[in-house]
Amino acid sequence: MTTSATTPEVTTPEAIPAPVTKSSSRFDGAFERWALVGALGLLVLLCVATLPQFRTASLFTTMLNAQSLVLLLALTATIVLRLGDFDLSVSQTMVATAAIVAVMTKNGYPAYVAILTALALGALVGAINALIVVRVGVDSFVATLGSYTALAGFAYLITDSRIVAGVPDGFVNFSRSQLLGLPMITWYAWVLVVVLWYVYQRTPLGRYTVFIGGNRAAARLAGISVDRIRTSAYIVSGLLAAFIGICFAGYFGAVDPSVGAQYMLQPFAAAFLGATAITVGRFNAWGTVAALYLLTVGITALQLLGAQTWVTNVFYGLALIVSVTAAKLVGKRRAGART
Amino acid sequence: MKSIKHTAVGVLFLGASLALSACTAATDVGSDDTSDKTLSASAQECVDGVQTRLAAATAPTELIAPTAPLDLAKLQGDTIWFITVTMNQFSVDMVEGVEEAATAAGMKVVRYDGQGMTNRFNEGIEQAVAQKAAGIILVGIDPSVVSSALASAAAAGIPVQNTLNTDPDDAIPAGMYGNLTSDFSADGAMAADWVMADSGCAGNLAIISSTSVAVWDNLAQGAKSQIEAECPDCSVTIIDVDVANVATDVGSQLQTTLQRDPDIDYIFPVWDSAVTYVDPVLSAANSKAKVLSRDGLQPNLDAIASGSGQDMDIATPPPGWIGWLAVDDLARAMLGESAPGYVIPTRVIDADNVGDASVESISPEYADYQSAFKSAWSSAQ
Repeated sequence: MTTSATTPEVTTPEAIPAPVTKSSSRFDGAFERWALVGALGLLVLLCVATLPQFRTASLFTTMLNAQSLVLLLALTATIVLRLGDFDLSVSQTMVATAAIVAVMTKNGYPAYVAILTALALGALVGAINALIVVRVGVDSFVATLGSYTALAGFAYLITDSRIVAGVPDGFVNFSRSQLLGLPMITWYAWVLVVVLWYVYQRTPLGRYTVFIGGNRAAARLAGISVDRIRTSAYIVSGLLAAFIGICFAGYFGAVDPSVGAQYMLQPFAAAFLGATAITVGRFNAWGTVAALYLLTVGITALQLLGAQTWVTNVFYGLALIVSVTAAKLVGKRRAGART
Repeated sequence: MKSIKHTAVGVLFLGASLALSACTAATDVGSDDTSDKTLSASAQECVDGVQTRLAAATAPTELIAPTAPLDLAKLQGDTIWFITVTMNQFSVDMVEGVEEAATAAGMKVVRYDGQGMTNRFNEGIEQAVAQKAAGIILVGIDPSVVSSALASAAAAGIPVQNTLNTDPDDAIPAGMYGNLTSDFSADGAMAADWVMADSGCAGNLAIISSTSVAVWDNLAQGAKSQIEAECPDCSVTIIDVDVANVATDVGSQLQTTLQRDPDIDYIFPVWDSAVTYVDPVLSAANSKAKVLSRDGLQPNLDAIASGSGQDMDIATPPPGWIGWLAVDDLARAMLGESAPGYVIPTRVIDADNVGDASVESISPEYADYQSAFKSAWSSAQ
């Protein structure tokens, strides 16, 4: 599998950049890492100064709440992206597993049976993706686009193309009950941020994912179990997507099988934009959080100012273009500095 | 060192958010129940006028069914195509009625899902023409984006029905023989009347719609016009969402609107399916705002009956009945008869008349509509 041209360049184990001696370069490195976070902070301050609604804590809590599903999906997307692969099926896995939960509970199955079935579907989707991508060698973008499409049809099949309402209160409480004023689904997203940060930054596995994403052949030669890690990543991605589907069913209290496509692009936009921050050039948890919240604050501000829908769409699209371009330029400049 | 920095960043994020959330009193954008307010003279006059209109809107609708026979012999073996903008719940329910009616009339049906894509809309019509369809029911598809395909159908002599895409009196698009639809503008006005009656003519209404869907825009503008004409003490805001991103855009824009105007106490997503995305926003905001919508899908009616999640719906008779009506209307066009001019009626359903949300409660005259159609069709056989 060829690394996608849009995947930011990543270093191999031997080529981890040595500390740069020039002080201006050190400053440049820090600026690159924190520019997006700084932009978020500045934007928040600007909005607080100019928009009265931004001086209410409730606005921030509702912004955080509204983006919880997208954040969960974006974080999940980073797992496979770090390996240089794509998993485009996460959003449809979410909807399909949510549909399973809704339909099974509506038909009288116990909640735990519905949950286990949903998780099993998620793992199965991940395993199939891994089989096609890792074992057979099909391009991950194409393969997971295929599973994405198939899962969309599956969601329509099991719901009979209908919105399935009446998700049991247990699931609704699982997602919507509040802790310190925030719904649990937001807390789940933040827990996942911390877990992924720890795995990515503090464990050998996290370093291996960077090596595999940067140069699969070299990683293999270095003794890393590349295929096993890639396979595991797809299965974990599927399981997490299934968990997000359980949250989805509870959050909305109903499942509309047609919405999977609407959750496809935003998570990847956040993941790619997040790769320009904190650990520049690598998909990372905190960068994804900062990126998503930067986009959210910007769009919320535009909406408060009365901007029409097309303005927010343009903003979102431009942010993605800028982020990917910036990541590419950063990577090129780093490569130039090392030669 | 790096990990400490990252941890610090994380702590900052969480800490800031926790501090903000701990400081937050739950946002309350809903108004208190207005039923105990003493009304001013002008408000009372407004309410009195509204009550008269609303009494008619909440009454059961009479059964609309054909009275003239249908030459079933000439229809035997014909195939009609059901081409819908997307095979959502409403379309599934309607096409089941279409298939039931077509079978009763000796015809066959081909379902075609447009999947929301213009190229598929055109392809569907062209396929129908190529396979010599006897007639086409076109649901929720803007005729302007399929004009050349409609021209092909017209050239082939295939009647095409413009279904649920306009108001009844709008001009019939080129290449089509007639409109089979509801009066969406009037439905919007009905929604506004309900808000006025419920609020004592002091409601603040947010309408969720999309200008890219003509009938939704008719609903929104109908409600807005009625509010502005009849209720000087009311306010109305239209939230225009991106129809391609409804699941995320409704919640995002609604929460922002509620932040901008915390006095909003009525939310009107103009289509039933959108209520799913309204509920979590109101829940997170601890809002008491009332929710109303339009279509009459069973989950929404059930929500009204259970007293949670929705307060009013503008309901059509069962979608299956609409399917039968569509077949009758199209069949007459196929036989060269003039269009009967059916208009799909609607009824305001709220806690007072929802009953158990069954067909018998919502549309009692439609409990056995199939018999009325069959009886009329075969009356000259």
